[in-house]
Amino acid sequence: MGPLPSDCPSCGQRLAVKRLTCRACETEVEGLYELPTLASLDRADREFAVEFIQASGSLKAMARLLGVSYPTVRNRLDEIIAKVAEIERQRGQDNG
Amino acid sequence: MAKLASGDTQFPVKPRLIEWLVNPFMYVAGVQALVIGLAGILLSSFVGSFSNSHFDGTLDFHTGAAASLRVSLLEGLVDWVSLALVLAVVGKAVSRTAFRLVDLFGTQALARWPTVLAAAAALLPGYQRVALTIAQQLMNPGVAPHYAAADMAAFVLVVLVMVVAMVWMVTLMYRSYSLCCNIRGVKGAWTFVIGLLAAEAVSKLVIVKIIMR
Repeated sequence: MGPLPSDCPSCGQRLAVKRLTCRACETEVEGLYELPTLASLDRADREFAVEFIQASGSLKAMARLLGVSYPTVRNRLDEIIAKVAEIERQRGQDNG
Repeated sequence: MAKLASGDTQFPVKPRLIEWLVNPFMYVAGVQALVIGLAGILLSSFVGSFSNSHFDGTLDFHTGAAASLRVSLLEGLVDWVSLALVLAVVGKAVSRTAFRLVDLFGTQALARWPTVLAAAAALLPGYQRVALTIAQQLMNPGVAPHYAAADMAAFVLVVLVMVVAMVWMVTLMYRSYSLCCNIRGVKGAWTFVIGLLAAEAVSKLVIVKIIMR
């Protein structure tokens, strides 16, 4: 399976889920579902978020793991926090 | 492993020499930067006490009157603390990020390493001879100065090294502030310049009124 795309390759807008499939019996469910917030982030941000959770949310541990300084990791996290806030804001607008 | 390569914080995971020279704080901060930075301030004071170098203000560098190790060291420490303290206040007022003071103080100390280069360059005998002649000329304007060509070449070379060292130091100071307080762009540049000028005034006042008294 390829990586989950979060943005439309044509217009750049956020993608939604149209169809889901059961891997066991291949039942398909169709509709219009929103991607969860974290899944709406791009691949690099998602990988960072997963590793951050695996590091028990420790910025120091993340800095050691990535071989960079503490403020570098913290700024990267701030960047993702801002993106999550923007996704949530847009989602709030879309849902009226 | 996650790559820190999206958005504004792009950098290669394996730093090249240029990254170490221009923005080492992406890789070194906190206590580690503080220890290395304080060692640099001590070393530049030690070398400066031989080359009669004075860092009598956050942005100042002069050679002239004999500099004892005590005075050189106090000047370096006052310069460092003044700027780090002022930038911490500015950062707290402007930044939305809850930054650690140890990162700002540590990286600001590390940013003063180019002063070692400036103080060492001033050791060159040719530079010292021309500087002494210029000082004598200022005190006795009637006497025509004589400079040996080799000494003049050494003087020009040392002045160039000093200018490069000062530009490098200010670049590092800005990078430290920008990274630690997470303030970039126009806002980062303006608040840094204001902080730098305020720190220059504070450090100059402390050095002239307290240390030199």
